[in-house]
Amino acid sequence: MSRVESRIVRRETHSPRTVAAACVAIVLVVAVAWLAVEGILHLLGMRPLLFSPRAQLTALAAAPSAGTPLLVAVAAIAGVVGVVLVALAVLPGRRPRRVLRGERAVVVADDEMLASALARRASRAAAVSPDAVTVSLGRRTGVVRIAPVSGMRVNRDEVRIAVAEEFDRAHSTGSMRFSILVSPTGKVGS
Amino acid sequence: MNDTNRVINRLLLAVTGIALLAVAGLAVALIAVPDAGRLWRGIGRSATTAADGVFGVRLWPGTTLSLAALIALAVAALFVILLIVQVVRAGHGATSTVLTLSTPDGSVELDAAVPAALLTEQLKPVPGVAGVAVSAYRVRRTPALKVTVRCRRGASPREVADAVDEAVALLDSALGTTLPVFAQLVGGFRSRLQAATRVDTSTSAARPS
Repeated sequence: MSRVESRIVRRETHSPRTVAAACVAIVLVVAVAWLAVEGILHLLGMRPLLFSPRAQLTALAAAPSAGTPLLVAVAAIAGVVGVVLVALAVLPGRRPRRVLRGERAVVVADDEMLASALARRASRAAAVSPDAVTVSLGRRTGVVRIAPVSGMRVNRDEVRIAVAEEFDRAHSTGSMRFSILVSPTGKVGS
Repeated sequence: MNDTNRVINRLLLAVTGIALLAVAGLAVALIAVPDAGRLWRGIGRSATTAADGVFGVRLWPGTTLSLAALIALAVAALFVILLIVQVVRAGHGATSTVLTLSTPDGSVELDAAVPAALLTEQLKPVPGVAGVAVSAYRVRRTPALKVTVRCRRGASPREVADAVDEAVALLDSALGTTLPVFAQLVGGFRSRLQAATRVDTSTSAARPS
């Protein structure tokens, strides 16, 4: 895979964090613009919008006498938002997509698309209607839920083998473990 | 595949997050540590006098303007502009020209619509494909194609991926050069079965009973 292609794959399988960064940037822009406007108003000798720069500084210096409830609120809110932002910055932010083996093109499939293919295969193997099967995919595990036709047994191992085979056919890298859950109550004529 | 600068996005989040954690830590220290309040007031008083001193230096007589105020405003303006640029730039980077050939008579530019039409024509009849969209982006200054293949419910990923490979190989021979091609398979549960399956082998008719 060329450098361009590996770059494309990395960018397409990981979140760009654009929404979070844009929200933070807008908040910062508003805050900094407010500070600047207060500074300009002060320089022009006009009345401040909320607090003049000097009043901001003295208020900040008097923070210890702000009272415990306010300090607790500040600590809690800043702490929670800070942890969330650092987590967003550090965590990989994988998107639910997988790279498929391709000769010429770089092919990435959404997990939703893969799950739908696996559900079709599972419904064939279990002899139920496609609507009676739901598949959810995680990074390394997948769960296949089947609502059987009442009075019919579903061979789980058969379904597991079929689903794993379909997955291996599509996907080259990484292995998956599938668990097959058959609902205890069947559906009539499903 | 666009111009979004992801490193700056993450840096912005990290720096803001760490600053907020520091604020939270200071607030906790003010509540929990008995001497912290006194220390804070002392630092605050000296900071106030220092600021008064720096901002009190007039640039010329009869003005309120000081060098420190000018610098502070310039830094604020720069900061705001950089942040707005970062927000506005996100998501762009699509290009319409995928190929530029220079011949002795001049240069030829190939629009993205040409490979788009070729790929769409090739992929449309493939079973399981409900729709195709093609766009072009610049990645590391080379144009690359992005093919979004909307699949029908239950479409085999292998078959669709092979069809994409084949279509791209055909495109290569038509263009005479190889462009990086990225294909994304989307769809699935939400796109319902359509005319592609007239004979439904999965219902009771095919079930051993």
